[in-house]
Amino acid sequence: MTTHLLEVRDLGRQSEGTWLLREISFSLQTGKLMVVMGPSGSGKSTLLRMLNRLDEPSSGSILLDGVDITTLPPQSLRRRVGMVMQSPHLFPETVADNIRFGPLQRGKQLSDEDVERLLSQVGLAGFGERSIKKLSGGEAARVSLARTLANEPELLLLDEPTAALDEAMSREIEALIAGLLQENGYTAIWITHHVEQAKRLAEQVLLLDQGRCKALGGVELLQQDSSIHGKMG
Amino acid sequence: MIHYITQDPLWVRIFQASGTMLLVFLALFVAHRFGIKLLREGGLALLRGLLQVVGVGLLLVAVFRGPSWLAPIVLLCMMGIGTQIASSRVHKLPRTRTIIFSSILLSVGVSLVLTLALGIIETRSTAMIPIGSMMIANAMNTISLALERLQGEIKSHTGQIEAALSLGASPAQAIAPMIQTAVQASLIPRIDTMRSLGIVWIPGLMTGMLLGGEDPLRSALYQFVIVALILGVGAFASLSAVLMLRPALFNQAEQLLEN
Ligand SMILES: Nc1ncnc2c1ncn2[C@@H]1O[C@H](COP(=O)(O)OP(=O)(O)OP(=O)(O)O)[C@@H](O)[C@H]1O
Ligand SMILES: [Mg+2]
Repeated sequence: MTTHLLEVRDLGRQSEGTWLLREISFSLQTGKLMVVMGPSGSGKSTLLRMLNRLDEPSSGSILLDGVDITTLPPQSLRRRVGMVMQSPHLFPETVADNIRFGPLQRGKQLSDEDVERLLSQVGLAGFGERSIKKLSGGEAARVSLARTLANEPELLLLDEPTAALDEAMSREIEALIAGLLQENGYTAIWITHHVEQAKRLAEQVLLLDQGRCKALGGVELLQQDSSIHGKMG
Repeated sequence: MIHYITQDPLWVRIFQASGTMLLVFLALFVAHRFGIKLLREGGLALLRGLLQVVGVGLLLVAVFRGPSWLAPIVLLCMMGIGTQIASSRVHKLPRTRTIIFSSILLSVGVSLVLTLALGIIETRSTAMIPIGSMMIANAMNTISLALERLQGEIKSHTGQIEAALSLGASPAQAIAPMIQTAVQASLIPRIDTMRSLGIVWIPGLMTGMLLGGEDPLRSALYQFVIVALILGVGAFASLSAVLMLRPALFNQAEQLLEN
C-alpha cells in the first residue's frame, strides 16, 4: 500500500474560459513538506484552495489517503486539510475565540488549558483574552496558524505564511512553523516566493508557471533552475 | 398666501405639490454640487411617485366601490411591483425576485391575517388596502436594506467567510455574523420610529382620531398597534428574505459563490 497522503492527478481549474491551473499531477508522502514556487498569478493559491475545496476543480482528481475528496463531506475534509491563508482574516473578538472556532464547529469545546497550549506553541502564551484588534502583523499570523492547528489537521496548507512580515519576523515565524512541522510530523504544502526560504524547508518542490507545472522534484530543482533565483513575483 | 392666487381646491393642491417638488429639487441640486449624483434618479423617482399616486387614487375609488375580493388582487399587484423595486437594488444576488416576493407575501400575509383575526381592521377593501399597502411598503424597504447590506457585508468579508469555511464551518455558521449585521441594520429605521413614537413623531392617524373626538387612550393604543405591526412586518420580512437567500449563496460543495 501507498504511504502517500495526498495524490493529485491531472488537476485543472478553468474560470471564465481561461485555465488558471492545468495538468497538475504530484503525490506527497506522509510527513513530507512540499514547497510550491512560481511567479505571482501562476496559480499557487488556486492549487491550495482546491485542496481545501474552497474552489472546485474543472478537471482531474484529488485523493486524500486514497479517497477522492469530492466524496467526502466538505466540512470534515476541510478540518482534515487545514489551510493558513495568505492574510490572517481573524474573527472578532478575542484570540481565544479564534482558537476555539474550528473545534467548536464539531461541537468540541476547547478547555482553557487546550487554548493556552496551542497559543504557547506559537509563542503567544497568555494572549487568549487579547482583542484581535490589538495584535501586530506577526502576532496575527501566529493566531491564524494556531487556529488551524487547533483542528489537528492531517495535511497543512500554508499560503505564504511569512509574506506580509519583515525579514526578521519572517525568519522567526518560518523557524517556528518548521519546528512544529518537524515535531508533529505534519504533512505540509508551503507556498513561498523566497528561494532561500524554500531551500531551507523543501523536501519536495513544485514549480508553477502560468498555471502549468514547470518542474517537479527534489531540492536540487532550486539549485538548477536559474530562472527562479532572486526575488520572484 | 396661495389662496390669493386661486380658490379652486384642486389648483391649490397642484401649487402645493409644485412647491414641495421645488424643495426636493433644491436639495438634490445642492447634493449634485457636492458630487452626490442623485439628480436624475431622485427627479425620476419624484415624477414617478406623483404619477403613481394620482393614478392609484383614481383606481382606488373604483376598487373601494367594487366587491371586497378585489382587495387581495390589488395587494398582490402591489407586492409584485414592490418586488421589482427591491430586487433592482440587489441584482447581483441570486434568485432575488422569488425570494423577495415570497418574503413580502409571507410577512404581509401572516400580519394581515393576524390583524383581521384580532379585529384591528375590518375585512373591507377600504381598510385592507391602506393597511396592507403600508405593510408591503415596509416589507419592501426592510428587505431592500437587509439584502443590500448583506451583499456589502459578503463583499467586504469574503476572506473571513472563507476562513471560517476552511476551518470546517458550515455555510450557515460562516455567514452568520453577516446575516446578523444585515438584519439589524435593516431594522434600525423601524426601531427608531418606534422609539420616537409620540415624542418626535405624532402620526397622522392618531392626530385624526384625536381631532375626531376619539378617546386619547384608545387612539394612542390603536396607533401603537399600527406602528408595532410595521415593526413586526419589517422584522419578519427581512429575516425571511435573508434566510431564504442564504442557501443560494453557496453551492453543493459548500463554496461561497461569487456575487
Ligand atoms: N476567483 C477567480 N476568478 C477568476 N480568476 C481568478 C480568481 N482568483 C484568481 N484568479 C486568477 O487566477 C490566477 C492565479 O491566481 P492565484 O491567486 O492562484 O495566483 P498565485 O500564484 O497565488 O499569485 P500570488 O503569488 O500573487 O499570490 C491569476 O491570474 C488570478 O488573476
Ligand atoms: Mg497567492
